[in-house]
Amino acid sequence: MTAFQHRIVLCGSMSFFGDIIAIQRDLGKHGIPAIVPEAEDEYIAALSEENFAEFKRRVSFRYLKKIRSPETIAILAVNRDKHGIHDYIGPNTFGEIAVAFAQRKKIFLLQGIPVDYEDELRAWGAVALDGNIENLLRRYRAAAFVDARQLRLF
Amino acid sequence: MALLLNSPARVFLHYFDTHFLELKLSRLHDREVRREARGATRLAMLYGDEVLVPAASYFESGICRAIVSEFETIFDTGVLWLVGGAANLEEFVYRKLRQYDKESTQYQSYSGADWTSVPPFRSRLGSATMDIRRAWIGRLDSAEPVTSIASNTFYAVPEDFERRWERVPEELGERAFIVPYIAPMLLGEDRHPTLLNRLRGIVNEEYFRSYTEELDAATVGELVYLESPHVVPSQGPPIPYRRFLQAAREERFLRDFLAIPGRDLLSLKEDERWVRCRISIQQSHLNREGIAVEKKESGMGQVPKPRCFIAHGHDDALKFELKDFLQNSLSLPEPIILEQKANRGRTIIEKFEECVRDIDVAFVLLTPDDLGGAASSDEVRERARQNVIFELGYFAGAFGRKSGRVILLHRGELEVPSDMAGVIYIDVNNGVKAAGEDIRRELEEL
Repeated sequence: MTAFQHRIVLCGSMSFFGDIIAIQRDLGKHGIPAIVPEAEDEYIAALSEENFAEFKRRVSFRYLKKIRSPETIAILAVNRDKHGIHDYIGPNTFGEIAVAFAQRKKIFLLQGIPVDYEDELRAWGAVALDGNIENLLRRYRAAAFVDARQLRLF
Repeated sequence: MALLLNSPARVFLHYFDTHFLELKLSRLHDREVRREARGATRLAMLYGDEVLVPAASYFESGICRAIVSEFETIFDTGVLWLVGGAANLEEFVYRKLRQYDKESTQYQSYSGADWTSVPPFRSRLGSATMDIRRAWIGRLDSAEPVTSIASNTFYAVPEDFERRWERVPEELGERAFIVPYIAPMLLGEDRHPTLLNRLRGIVNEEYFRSYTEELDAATVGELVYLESPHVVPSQGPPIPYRRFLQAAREERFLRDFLAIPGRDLLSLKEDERWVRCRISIQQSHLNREGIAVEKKESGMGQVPKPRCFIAHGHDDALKFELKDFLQNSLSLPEPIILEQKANRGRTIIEKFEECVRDIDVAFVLLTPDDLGGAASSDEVRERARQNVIFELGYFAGAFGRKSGRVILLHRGELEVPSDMAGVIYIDVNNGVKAAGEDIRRELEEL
């Protein structure tokens, strides 16, 4: 039986995939499991239209399930600049954030809060990390780790 | 047909640039980057009459050399060229060696360059460095202050930031106009990563513009992993990579396109499937333009009828009630319901992307379809299907805030995801017809 462990789901445009992998690695160093989107390989790229559609459908819904899962305590949107837009969040990522909010997950943004969605994201309690994941680490530890002083009572 | 088949004469491959790849942290997902760069290069070879690779990318990027070398046996066809601001390759390399510090990886790349099997070189008249310098100084006079690179960050720019900015070209002297050399002059010791990325974006954009404008070249756009953080200048519409992938899958062309040896790639120009892919891409482009023209023209005459999309959960009765109301009572065009649309190989997300371009308003039906609750509580409550929440977020994100183009119809005792700006909320507990006047009024407001 696999032990229950709090985790964080990373989302964002695939054009930030390098950043997403880097953050997963950094979080891993701090003992925090992080889920990242699946990349497509050569085999998948060359799938027939029907099989590719089926693959993408499965992957999309699997990712939403991962966001909804009780093990997931937060979502981190990797929102680097894109096409000259600062702190870019695309429709897909915004949709995933909406799912996270509906499930009462904590929402973190790697950079700032984009002007376009400022009202919504502030109302949803999104935390802008200004490129620094320290704030996320602090909150994760507070939510997921038991205080060692309490353990000494037993 | 000639109109459909016209193509950019020259294609400039921007994505091989090492500073661009550095910005993408490409080393962390080398496989995906290589695959996409290879696919985009093959597409450029089929699309353009000439494909231009910056000579600097060829010497500095191993990915570039590996992919370009696939076409070694057709270097003499005049399709693929290295291009740089010098009379020939020897002079180009000599100049580069003067621009970089001896310990830099770039210097090593040029000093230890392998000259065997290098593609033909084409000289350009201008200088990318000079163009970047001009644009850099020009930013001091633009409406957007140069301090805006720190917008939405916690970084406080130095008081003399504009003065520092102005001095950069002079202080650089002959050295390359790259961020590792610029950042210490501008930011001192506090190198905020977001600012470094934005500086890279500014320099890269001007570098690409320098080439594409002088050479009158298009670029490859709609990339996935290699999509740019900044605007990539292109003369004419960029070649749409993702739309090509869709078309190639439909035509069962993708496998051959990826597998054929580089020496034989150009033979695919005669392949009927490639011709159909080209037509499909061009047709899709024209359709979008046609919709824009149609909207513009209808604005001068009669009021256009909004095209609607219905996102729904399991409540089929409500879905069809809304569809009938929109079509029969309001005489609108038949609404798009995703499951009714022919698949044609598109994925759900791609279908959304396509729909967003073609529709004016999205109705989202939030109905109690699932049971669920927080992990920390035993309480079970009714809730909407999560894919509907996703679609709500997607359309709100795609249409933009306060657009009024997302109408949320909710029924039953369930939690609605809070007041999202730009989303209109209508209670349909008594059915669509009872709320019909509200719906009609909101559509009139569009």
